[in-house]
This record gives sequence, structure tokens and C-alpha cells, in this order.
Amino acid sequence: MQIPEKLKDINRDAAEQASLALSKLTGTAVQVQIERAEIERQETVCPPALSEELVVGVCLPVTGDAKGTALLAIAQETAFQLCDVMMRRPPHTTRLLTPLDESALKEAGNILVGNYLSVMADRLEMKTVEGLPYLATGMLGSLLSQIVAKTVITASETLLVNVEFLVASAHFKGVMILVFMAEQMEAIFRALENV
Amino acid sequence: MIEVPMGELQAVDNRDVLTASGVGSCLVITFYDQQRNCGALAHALISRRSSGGAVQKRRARYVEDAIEESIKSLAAFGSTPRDLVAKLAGGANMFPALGPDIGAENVSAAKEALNRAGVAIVGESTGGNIGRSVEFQTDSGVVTIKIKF
Repeated sequence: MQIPEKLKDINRDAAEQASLALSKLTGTAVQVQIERAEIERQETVCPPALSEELVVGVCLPVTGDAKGTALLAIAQETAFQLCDVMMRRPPHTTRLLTPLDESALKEAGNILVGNYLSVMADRLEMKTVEGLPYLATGMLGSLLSQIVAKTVITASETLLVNVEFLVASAHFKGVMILVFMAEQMEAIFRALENV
Repeated sequence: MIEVPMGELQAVDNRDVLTASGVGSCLVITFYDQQRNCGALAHALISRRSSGGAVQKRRARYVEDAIEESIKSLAAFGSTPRDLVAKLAGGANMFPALGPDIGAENVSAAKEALNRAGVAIVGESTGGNIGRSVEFQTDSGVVTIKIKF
């Protein structure tokens, strides 16, 4: 499916807002870039080559006009580096996530996902509400499959917006996946074309 | 090696190795016929179709359908359910706080369906909150589980 051109505006605005919020959280200048947004079929979102990658995932249930789940996944090593920055530790210190680290990662996920959803909802005149973030570590495929399975129950096809974030100062990369019920995703695309 | 994606199944009689990577709450069901040296691997997402739910577009999306279709596929090689043994892998709950335990439902549905079909379960690595990768040697029936943590 073609990505609506207007999605780029949402990406830019969401990145700006997330940059400000993350800079406040970490006390250091953070630049978020959304490198790309793609729509993918739910069952092919995770290529086999990546499905075994060990990641830290922050998952947020989404309710309101668009019901679904958002997942921010970052490689475990990247999560350690991000914790070093957020906790103001020397680089390469974190080797195990403490409850405080987990809390910080959940907050970072909340900020990134929350800003994206907030900007998207504003642009599309929708209302979305994010639930509490949950954190898990595991293979990327294993985290994604549970998110996808939740929507398969009621939707035959669900589309995913796949977004990469690059925090320029230290080049942290992650992927954000938004899974919505099919009919609501279609409504989002219709709305995007009418923005 | 043949990677079997979510919602799909593969049945072979040519000693291929069937794999499924990064399995979380999904359930992998392997079937092996020792007499005929054939096997199948199904990678199912959820236990059963809800009433008024989605129209199935992948034949192994639902556990019950995956088992039925695997048995049918192996019948083409001459296997009957009594000739088959099954192993289960996956059915984890990666985000326990997120809602219903889809993984446990998958495992339960598979055991019921396999029992009804008369296929013996001879091995299982299910549950917990860990992802698994599965490698099934169809020439020996050996299933290897890889876990990362």
C-alpha cells in the first residue's frame, strides 16, 4: 500500500516533540529522527533474519478512536547504552537492566509512542489514549507475534506503521510498530488523504 | 532449510529442515511420521476463530485449522493420524500484564485438537515469557529449540 504523503508531516512533528520531551527527560540534547514509515502486512512485519534479534520492547495498549497496540523495540545493547545516557553513567556501564532502568526505558517509550500518537490524532482529528507501558526482553519476533495475535482475533488484516528513530547524539536506533484493527487503520488512511 | 512464517504450514517428505524463528505466543506444532520419514510444521497465531471473526486467509492462522490442515497435507504422503507424533513449542506470554494469555490458550487448544484427532504428543517446550526458535529435522523427528535471553 502507498504511504500517504501527509504521513511525512506527522513524522516530522512527532520527531520534534519527542526530541524536546526526551531532552528534558535525559537532561541532554536529544535529536529524534523518524527515518521512514511503512505500511506492512501484520504477518510479514518481522523478516526471519530479524526475528531472533534480542530486543527490549516497550508495549502500550491504545484505546479511543483507534484501538490497537504500540510497540517500541530497541536492540538490547542499544537499550543498555540508552540507560547509560538517561542515568548519566559512563558509556558501556549498563549490562543488566535494574528496575530503575526499566522504568526509564518505559518512560522513553511512552514519550516516543505517545508523541507520535498524539500528533497523528491531532492531525486526523481523532482521539487516542495510551495505556500504561509494559516492558519485556526477548526475540523481536516473539514480542511482535503477541502484539499481532491480539488483533488477529477480530481483524482479518492489520496494517503496521513501521518507524525508525535515530537519536543523533549517540545514534540509537529503534523501531516503533503500531498495530490497529483493520477497519480503524483504513479509517486512518482515509483521514490522512483528507488532511 | 525452509522458514515457515506465522499463519503458515509446510509438509515435506524430502528430509528438509523446517524452521520457525522468534516464536512468542504463537504455537509451533510439528508432526512426524517415522515410517514414511515425512513431517509437517505449522506456525499458528491464535487458538480459534471467534464468532463473527476474521475470514481465514492463511491456512494455519488458527491452531485448530493448522492441525487439521497439517494432517490433511501429510495424508498426501500416506500418513494417517495414528502414524503421527506431535511436538509443541511456543505458547509464551511475553507481556503477562497485557491481557488474555494467548499462548496458554494456543497450547490448550492444540492439546484438545490433537487428542480429538488421535495424534500423540511426545514432546513440549511451551509457556513462560521467553521467545523460542524451532528447528525440525524431518528425517529424524528431532526438534531443536533455541532460546535467547
